[in-house]
Amino acid sequence: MLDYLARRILIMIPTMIAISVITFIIIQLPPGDYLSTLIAEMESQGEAVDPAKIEALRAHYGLDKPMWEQYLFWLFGMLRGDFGYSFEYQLPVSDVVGDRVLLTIVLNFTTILFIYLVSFPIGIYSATHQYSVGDYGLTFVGFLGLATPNFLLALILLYFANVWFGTSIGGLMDPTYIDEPWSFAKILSVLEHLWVPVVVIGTAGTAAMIRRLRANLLDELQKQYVVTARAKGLSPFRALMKYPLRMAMNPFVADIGNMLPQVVSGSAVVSMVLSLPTTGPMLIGALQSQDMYLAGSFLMFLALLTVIGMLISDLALAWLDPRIRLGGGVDR
Amino acid sequence: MTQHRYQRGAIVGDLVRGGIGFTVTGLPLVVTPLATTMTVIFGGLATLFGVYVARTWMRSSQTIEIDGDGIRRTGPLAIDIPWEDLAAMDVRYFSTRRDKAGGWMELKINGGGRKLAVESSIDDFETVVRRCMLVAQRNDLELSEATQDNLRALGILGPTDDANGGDGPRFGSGGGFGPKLEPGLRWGIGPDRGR
Repeated sequence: MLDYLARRILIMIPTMIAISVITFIIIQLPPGDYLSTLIAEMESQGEAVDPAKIEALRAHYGLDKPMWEQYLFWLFGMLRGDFGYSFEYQLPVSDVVGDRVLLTIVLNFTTILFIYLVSFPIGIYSATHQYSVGDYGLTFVGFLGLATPNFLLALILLYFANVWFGTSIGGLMDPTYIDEPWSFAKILSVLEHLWVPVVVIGTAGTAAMIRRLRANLLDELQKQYVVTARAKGLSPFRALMKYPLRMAMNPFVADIGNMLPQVVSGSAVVSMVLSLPTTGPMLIGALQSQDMYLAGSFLMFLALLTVIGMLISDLALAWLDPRIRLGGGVDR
Repeated sequence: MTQHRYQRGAIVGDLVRGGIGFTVTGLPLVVTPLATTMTVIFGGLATLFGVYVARTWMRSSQTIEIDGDGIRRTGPLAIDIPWEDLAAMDVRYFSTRRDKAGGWMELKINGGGRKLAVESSIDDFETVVRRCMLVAQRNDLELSEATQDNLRALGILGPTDDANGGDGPRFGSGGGFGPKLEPGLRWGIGPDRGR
């Protein structure tokens, strides 16, 4: 396993470097820079722009330097914990981001947990009770979850959470706790608000996961070894848990890597609707205004999440299913 | 007695890989002041690659020896597992690619509280695995489904018996299962060889 871990991480290093280069190039691709956008905005509002001042600002922020020099400055800055300067907020990126990264991680981790906790038992039930009333009912709920747009579900749940439970509209905590230091009451407030976005973001993922687990498990349950196991007297529970479920879980585990970025990007739209203080809305704003260091830091964070998700998924798969795939072949 | 050593090409390849990893993750620790989180991450990764390089270097002077009494690793961190102590055997396949191509295998055996891992980059890996499997069968050890599939891929186990479950594991009367041996592999090695 040490070999596997070392080799797998060795692949991650050039991947992260490549992602950082691509991220930086993409951010720079639109014509102009943050100051060009600022000038255009000021001119559209009829304000006078002093070219000398703009040039001084461009030199101050290092925007007059070649792209590779700006990239290296940003990259080595990140290693030192300096993620650059947000032009729009006139603050270091780390100060602008504040608790948003933590809240984003909490929201997305809880969503993934919700997806797994809900879809796993339902998927098993649907497969083992195929074509029963329960299977049809849960399948219907699953399709409903897949078909309902996130923003619509968000608005409906927000309304009912307010009417039934008195939860304040929008945000991840009561307005009284915003900018307050972390306390038990603030954590409780976050938990009280958390379920709405978790259900909204998680519903589509849950429905998709239920369908996949059901299909995989049905495939496994119809194989001869399961029939043989049952015929030889193995209890239905053991005949399900020992092999078919383990086999059906492989795509489940393999999905961790893909699910992480999907949930994060899905949460961006929901965060706009629910006014959540997560990274999504700020990232969209930073991309619109070409606030390159802020946008770049967010994109690197998302890329890191994806790469770590893939690593976790690959490690889990290597542990769960260390089988050769015929046709692949041993190389050494 | 047969002796097996790791192939020079594989050792060099692993040393180069480990060296690159160690340099890339260790160099920033030396040349630039890092944030605390980054120091922990890069320090952890550099340690991992350091252990990997040290382990690879040790392998270059280790030999796996197999005879009628057991299997042993000589050289640094020597281990001896007598056949009668063999309690578990696993053959695992690893690949860093999603299509699982271009990977390697690892034989892991336990016995008498000692563990021994042998990678497929060793000379005549199939012979090492075959001998361990014969003893595992004699000791009535349960082999996992993954191990059986990997043994089949190595050509050591025969195809599955369709009447006994097709593409799944074979179940014994107690819910366990055992491997189906290729014809001619019934006579193994070990203390009772030649009886």
